[in-house]
Amino acid sequence: MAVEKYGLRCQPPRGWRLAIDRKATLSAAVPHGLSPQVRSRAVERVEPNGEVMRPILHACTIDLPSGRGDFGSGVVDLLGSEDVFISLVEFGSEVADQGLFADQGMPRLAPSQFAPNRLQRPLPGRSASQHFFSVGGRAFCLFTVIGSHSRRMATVPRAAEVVRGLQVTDRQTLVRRGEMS
Amino acid sequence: MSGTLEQITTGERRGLVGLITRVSERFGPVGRRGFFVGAAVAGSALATDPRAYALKPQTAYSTICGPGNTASSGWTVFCSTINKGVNSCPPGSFAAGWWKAADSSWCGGGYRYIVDCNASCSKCTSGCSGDHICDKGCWNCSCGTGSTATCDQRRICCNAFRYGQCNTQVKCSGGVHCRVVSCVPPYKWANCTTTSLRDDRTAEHSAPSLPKWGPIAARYKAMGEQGSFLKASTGPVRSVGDGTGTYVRYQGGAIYSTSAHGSRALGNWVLQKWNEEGGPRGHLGYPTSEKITTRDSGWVYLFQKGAITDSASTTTQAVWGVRYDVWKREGREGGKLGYPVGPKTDVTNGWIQVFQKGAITDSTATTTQSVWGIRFDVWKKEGREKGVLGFPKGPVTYSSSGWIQLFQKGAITDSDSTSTQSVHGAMWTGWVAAGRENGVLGYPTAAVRSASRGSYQTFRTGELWRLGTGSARRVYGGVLSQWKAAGGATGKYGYPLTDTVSSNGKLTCQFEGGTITT
Repeated sequence: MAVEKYGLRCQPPRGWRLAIDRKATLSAAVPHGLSPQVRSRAVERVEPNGEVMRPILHACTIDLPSGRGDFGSGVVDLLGSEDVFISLVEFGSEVADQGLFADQGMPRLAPSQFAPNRLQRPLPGRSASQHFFSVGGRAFCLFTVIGSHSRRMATVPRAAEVVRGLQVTDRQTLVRRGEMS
Repeated sequence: MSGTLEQITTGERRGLVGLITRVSERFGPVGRRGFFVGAAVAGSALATDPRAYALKPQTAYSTICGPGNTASSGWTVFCSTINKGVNSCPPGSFAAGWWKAADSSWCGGGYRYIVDCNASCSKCTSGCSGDHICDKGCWNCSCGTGSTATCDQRRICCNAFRYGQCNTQVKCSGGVHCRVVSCVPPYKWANCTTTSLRDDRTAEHSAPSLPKWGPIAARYKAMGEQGSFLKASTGPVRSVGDGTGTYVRYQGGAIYSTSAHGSRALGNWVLQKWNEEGGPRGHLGYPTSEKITTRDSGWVYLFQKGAITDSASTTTQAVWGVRYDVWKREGREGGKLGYPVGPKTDVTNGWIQVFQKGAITDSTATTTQSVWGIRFDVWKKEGREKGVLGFPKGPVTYSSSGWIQLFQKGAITDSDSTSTQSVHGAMWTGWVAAGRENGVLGYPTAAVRSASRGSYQTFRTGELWRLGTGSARRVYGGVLSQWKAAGGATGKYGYPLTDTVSSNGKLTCQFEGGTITT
């Protein structure tokens, strides 16, 4: 079943777990220009200290533990050789379409992009890839971890299929809906 | 050789010595470096993560470094471990992204912010397309592990990963060289965006070269940490060694802390001046304030026993000890003396410290006194302590009609009807004999002047005349009028040989050429 939240839509295959979160404390505020009515749907929330909480999508072939790191710490440690973890992290429109986020469009995953040293913390057997890009005026990082580097020819296509199915609502549409400033 | 908290506190070796002994036995990986080193590190471990340290079999050093402190854990080393203690990105790397970890004991139980310093692609840019990480051969560092001299043996420049919120104008980078930590969000002190990412598993990662949480770290956090003038820490909390104070050094200065005087930040410039005065064990003692902005674009740092100060019109000077007490009493930089213009200087039989509008001085024969305002101008003109007046013997004192400040060999004085004058030498002796400002002569109206065969000084109601090097003789009243009318010292009477005295309602004075009685 497809899940759409914060302008991100994903329909993972059967058996995958999916979470689209935008963490925020109760005291976090919606950005200027957004009405309180869209509070729960607002793509961005601003913490009292200025930090901006943005959507993070996690898709995984195993259960997603609470308290996991945004780039999957606490999850990737648990992956079996056939498992896949995907994290799509949003970085904000102010950095979209330039520099690190100049590449356009959702990346197409390929086994050649994966390497054991591409994790935040290398773990035996694991392999990962990382892509920075922009879609519709929104900046993202796609971080994908597979349970076994030696099994990448089998697992990366499964990850690629999920990524191909990811849909991003462009910034202008979200602004028009009042969900982004 | 490890033990639980219960074993440590209830075993054969009871009490503090037993506790420290048992705790110190955990130094296997780094070897024994003496009882006191062991006690210090064990104390840090207990303070940092007492539950983990007490209940899990591990070394004290391991507890300071937190979980995952070996190379095999995969985590990246702290920059302070490989950057000479400095908690900042080493040359050839840059802040590339950050995350925060909740409930960190290194930030007083609050959020701790960790910044990845990624290597620059300084040698080439191949491999950048697609994943924005250049080929390993292009990185400005090479993969390795930390020194075994520290428990932070995590990986150096191995992990090809980027968090992505910092310096996003840099499209391509190398791997993570090392990690910087802060209790203040990095977007407040580095070129990072506010996009917040989180990984609580790293909350207790640390290194012995990083300052642990305490009053100093709390002060540093309140100042904005790396965003303050202090910039990055360059080492852990260290003891002054006097059983009183601790400190942390930073790129831009230091914070010193005592229970009595709090935690005070000093910039490098004032720190250097303070150290020249002996630092915490020197003349000034511990800081009791931070920078206080004062007039004339100036500033003052207060210490237990003095101050260091500067202004647009002066150079940086220290005032300490009894001089500081006097300076403070006189209103400090905003008072009668103004800013110091020089250090305490030893002079013959005494010392002096000069200020913008005066001086504080003392000698073996006097007590500490200040001379300020017009008195200082006159004293300086008269040669200061080496001159005709010598050291001041007391403060300025006021009467209804004027004031006077006494010196070893004279005085500086003024009144409503006169101008400021000094009286010294033989004239001083003569004036004192005549009852000074309250006597028959009153306040001086002019300085000593030379005359044919002698000298003289005029006063409001009389004069002192001195033949050659003889005594000064007072002439006043009707005697003075008659003598002046007869040509004074160059007339037929010449110089007075005695003081004018009053007897039976008459004034009389004996001169070289005769006696005048009125």
